[in-house]
Amino acid sequence: MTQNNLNNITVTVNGKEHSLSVEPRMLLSDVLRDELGLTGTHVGCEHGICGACTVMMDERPVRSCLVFGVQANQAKILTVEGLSNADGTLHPLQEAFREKHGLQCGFCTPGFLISACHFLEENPHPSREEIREGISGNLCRCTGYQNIVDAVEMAAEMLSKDKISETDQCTVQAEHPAGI
Amino acid sequence: MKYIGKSIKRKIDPRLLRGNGRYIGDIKIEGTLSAAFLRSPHAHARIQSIDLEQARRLPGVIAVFGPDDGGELPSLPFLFPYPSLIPITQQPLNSTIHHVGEPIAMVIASSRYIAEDALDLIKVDYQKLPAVAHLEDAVRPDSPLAHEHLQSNQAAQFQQSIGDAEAAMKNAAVVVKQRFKIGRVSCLPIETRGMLAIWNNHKSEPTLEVYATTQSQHEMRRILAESLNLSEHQVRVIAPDVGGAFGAKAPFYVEDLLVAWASMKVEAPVRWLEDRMEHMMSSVHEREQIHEASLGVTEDGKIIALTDSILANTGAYVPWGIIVPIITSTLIPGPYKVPNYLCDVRVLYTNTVPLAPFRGAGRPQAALILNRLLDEAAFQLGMDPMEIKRKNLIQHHEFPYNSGLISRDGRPQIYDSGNYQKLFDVVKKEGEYDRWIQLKEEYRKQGRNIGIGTAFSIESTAFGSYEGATVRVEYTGEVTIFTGASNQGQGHETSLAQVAAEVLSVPIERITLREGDTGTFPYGTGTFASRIATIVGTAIYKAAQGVKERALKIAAHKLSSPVDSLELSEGFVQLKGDSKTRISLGQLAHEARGIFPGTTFDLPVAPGLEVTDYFAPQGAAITSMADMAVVEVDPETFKIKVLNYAGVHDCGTILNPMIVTGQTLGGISNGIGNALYEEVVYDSDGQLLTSTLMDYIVPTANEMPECNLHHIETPSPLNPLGIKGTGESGSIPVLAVIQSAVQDALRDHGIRVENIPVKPSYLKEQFRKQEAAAFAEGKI
Repeated sequence: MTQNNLNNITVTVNGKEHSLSVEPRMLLSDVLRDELGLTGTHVGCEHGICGACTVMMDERPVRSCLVFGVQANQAKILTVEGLSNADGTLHPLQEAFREKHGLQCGFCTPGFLISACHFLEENPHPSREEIREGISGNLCRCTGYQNIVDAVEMAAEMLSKDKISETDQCTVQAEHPAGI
Repeated sequence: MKYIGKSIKRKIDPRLLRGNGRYIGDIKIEGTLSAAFLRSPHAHARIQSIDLEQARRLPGVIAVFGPDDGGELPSLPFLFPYPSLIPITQQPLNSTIHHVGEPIAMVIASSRYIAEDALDLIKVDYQKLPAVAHLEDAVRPDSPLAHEHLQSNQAAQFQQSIGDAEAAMKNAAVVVKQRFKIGRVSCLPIETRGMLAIWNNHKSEPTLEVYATTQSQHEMRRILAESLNLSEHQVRVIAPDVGGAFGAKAPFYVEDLLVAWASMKVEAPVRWLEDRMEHMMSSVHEREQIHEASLGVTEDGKIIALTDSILANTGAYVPWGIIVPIITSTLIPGPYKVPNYLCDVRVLYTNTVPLAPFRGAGRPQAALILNRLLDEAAFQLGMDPMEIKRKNLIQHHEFPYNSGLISRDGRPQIYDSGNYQKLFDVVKKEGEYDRWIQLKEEYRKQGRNIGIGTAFSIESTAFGSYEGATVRVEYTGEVTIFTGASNQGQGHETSLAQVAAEVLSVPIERITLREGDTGTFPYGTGTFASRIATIVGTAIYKAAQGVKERALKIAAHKLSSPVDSLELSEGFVQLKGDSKTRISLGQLAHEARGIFPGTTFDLPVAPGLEVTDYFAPQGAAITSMADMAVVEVDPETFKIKVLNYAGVHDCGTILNPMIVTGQTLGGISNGIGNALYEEVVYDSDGQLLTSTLMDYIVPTANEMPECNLHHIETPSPLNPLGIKGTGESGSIPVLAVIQSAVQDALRDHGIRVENIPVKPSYLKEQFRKQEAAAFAEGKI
C-alpha cells in the first residue's frame, strides 16, 4: 500500500479498539484480514453476493467487501473470531453447526455464522422456512444447506433454553482475546 | 464395527468454526508480493503491440511480464491422451488469445491494490480474429476456426458401441427421439483459486515451496518441476485448508506456472488470489453437450436399441483431455440393460474457457439421456415411467455385469456390484411415489402443474491408479497417518481416521491424519473421481493391518505369549480378555525404534512401529442411486418449485454416514443449480455474458427443497472394506429427475422440455412456439 492519502480510523473489533491508517479505498474485509490479521472473515466474490465476508457492524450484518475501512471509523465490529466465548468454548451456533454437520470446507461458514447470529436475534423462534429465508444471503457450495438449516434450528432451541443468551449473542461486551 | 459406519463428528470443525482455518489467503509470510493478471477482453485475437513500461514505472510495482517473457515457458503439459484427439494446451502469456479471460500479462507488486492499478496502465493493441463459441456454430463447415492452424474445430471424434443398434432399432415396436441441449456451468467453489509461491535461493539447494488451492498436489509438483527445470525434490506443494473445489482445482493452470515462475524471477514470495470474475472467465467449466438420441423398445417396454450423437464442447484447450465426453458415452446405458448401443461423439474446440470435470464429470449428462428417453417411451406405451425403468434394470444376480463397453482406462467396463431393485423399492416407498401420483391428479384438477420425475443412475468411482498411506504409532501412543490425498471439505481427517481406529482399536481422538503435502507423503494422485475413501481408505486399512501385525509380534516377544493369544484394545495390546496384562502401543513404538543407541535390535520385526502401503484398485467401483423429485410449475410466471426430493444411494460400505449424507446433499444442491438456475453464457462471438454472480445464479437455501435421503449398502468386492465413492453421486441424477418432473408437469400442455437448465424463460419460449405452431396450423 502506498503511503499517500492515508486516513486514520479507530475501530473496535471483537471488543478491542484499534487505531490504524488506511487508504480510503481499502475494503473493510482487507482491513480486517490484512491489517488486523483477522483472517476468519473470508472473501468469496467481492461483489456482495456470496456473503462469505459478512461481519456485524454496529449490530447490523454487512458485507465487509462492500464497505470501505474508512466507513467503519468509530464502529463496533464483530467477526467470527469474536463469536466464541472468551474462555474458548463455542457459541451455541458454532456448537450446532458442528453437531448437525453444517459445514464442509468451512470457507463460507464464518459468514453463515454471523448472518445466522443476527437472524436469531431478530427472530428467536423461527420456522424452517424463515430460517431458509434468513440465511439466503449466503452461498454455500458444499452442504446443500439442509444441515445448515438444521443447525440454525438447533441453535435457536439452545439459545432459547439458555437464560444468559440475551447477552451471549452478537454483541461482544468485553475485550475478546481470540484471533488478534 | 466400532468406528466404521458411525457418524463421528468432524475433528476439523472447531478450528474452522472459530475462524482459524488456514486458507491460501490467510498464510502470512513477511515480504510476500501480490500478482495480478491482465486478461484478454477478446475471444480470439493477436496482440499487435503491448506497452508494459508505464505499469513498470508505478511505485510499488516490482515486475511486469508480458508475451515476450512467456516465450521462455513451455505450454501446459498434455494429460490423458486419446487416439483421435488433436491436443492443444495453453501457452502461458501467449501473444495469440483463444478465449476471453486468457492472461496476457502479469504484474508483481507490493500489494494487490497496486498490482491492479498497474494493470490499468498496460496498453494493448489487439488484432481481432474471427471467433466461435457455440457448439452449433463450431460444427458448421464455414465456421470460424477456434485455432487458426487447424483444418476444422474438431478436437476428437469417436464411437462407443454394443451390438448393432441401427439394425436392432428397426425391430422396435416404439422408437422415441429427443434432442437434449445441456448448458455449461462453473464449478464455483466459494474460495476461488490461488497460490503462494516461495522461491528460496539461499539454501545449498534452491527450493520452491508452493501453497496452492489444488486437488492434486503431487501432479502439480511434477508439472512445476518439469516446467521450471527443477528436480521434484526441490519442489514442495502444500494444499492447506482448501475452500471447496468440485473439479475447478484439479487441472494445472497457466497461473500456477506463472506465479511459481514469478517467485523465482523476483526472488520473493508471490501470492495470487483469483477474484470471482477471473474465476468465471478462466477456471474450468463443464457439462455443455448437445445430444440427438433415439430409443427403441418392445411393446412391453424392454430396451432394444439406443443411439446417440453427441456434440461436446471442450473450449479452447484440453487441460484434462476429453474424459468428460468419454465418461458420458460409456455411462449412457447406466444401470439399464442395453443390448444394442451406438454413440457417436464429436468434441469441438471453441473460443471459450476449457471444459474439464466438474462434480459428476460427464455422468449427469449420461444419466439424463436414457432416463428421459424411457419416460418418453413409457408415455407412448401408456406405462408408468418408474415401471419401465424397473423393467430394464440390471438384476441383482447379474453382477459382476459387463456393459460391453470399454471404460476410460481402456479395459472392459464391468459393474462390480449393486442392488438396483432395492433402490427401486426404497425410493418408491420413501419418496411416497404412489401418494404423489394421487396428489398430482388432485392438484391437476385444481389447475396446478405438478410433475413427478424419477431417475436411476450410476457413478463409476475410485479410479486408479493408486494412493498410499503411512500409519505410524508415536511414542505417546498417538497414531499419525500420512496420505497423498488432499482435502477440500470432505472430512478426511475424520472418516479416514475411522479406518485406522477400527483396525488398531485406538480412540479416534488419538489419531491425526496429515494430507495435502508432498513433503510428508511422497506419491499420490489426487482428490477427484470420488476416489479417496475407497483408495486411500484401503491403503490406510492395509498399512494399519501391517502396524497391527508388528505390534502383536513385538508384544508377543515382550510378554512371552503367542501372537494368537493377543488382541488390540483401546490403545493397548493385551492377552485376549485380560486387560491387566497389557502393553501400550506407545511403549511398543518405543521398543520398535530400539531402546538405546548402540544396542543390538532384538525384536522379530523391522524397526519402527510404522508401515507404508499402497492400494491400486483393479477397476472402478460402481455406486448407484435412485432419485425422485416432485415439482410445480407456476402457470403465469413459469417459476419451477421443487416440492419434494427423495433419494436412495448405495456407495457400498459407509465409513461415516453423517459425512456421506452431507456429501450427497451438497451434490444434489449442485445438481439443482445445474438443472434449474446455473448457466455460463457466451454470445456467438465468445464474449462472456455471465462473469459475476449477478448473472450466474446459484441456488440459496431458499431454492433447495428438503431432501429425504436414504442409503443402502452393497459392498464392493474390489477392496477389503467394500467401499465405493460417493463425493459426486448426489449431483448425477438431478438433471434427469428435474427435467423429467418438469416435462411431466407440462405434458398435458403439449410442451417438450429439452434444455438444461430448465428456466422459466425457456418454458415461456416453448409455450410461445407451441402457440405459434398451433396458429400456423389454423387450430387457434
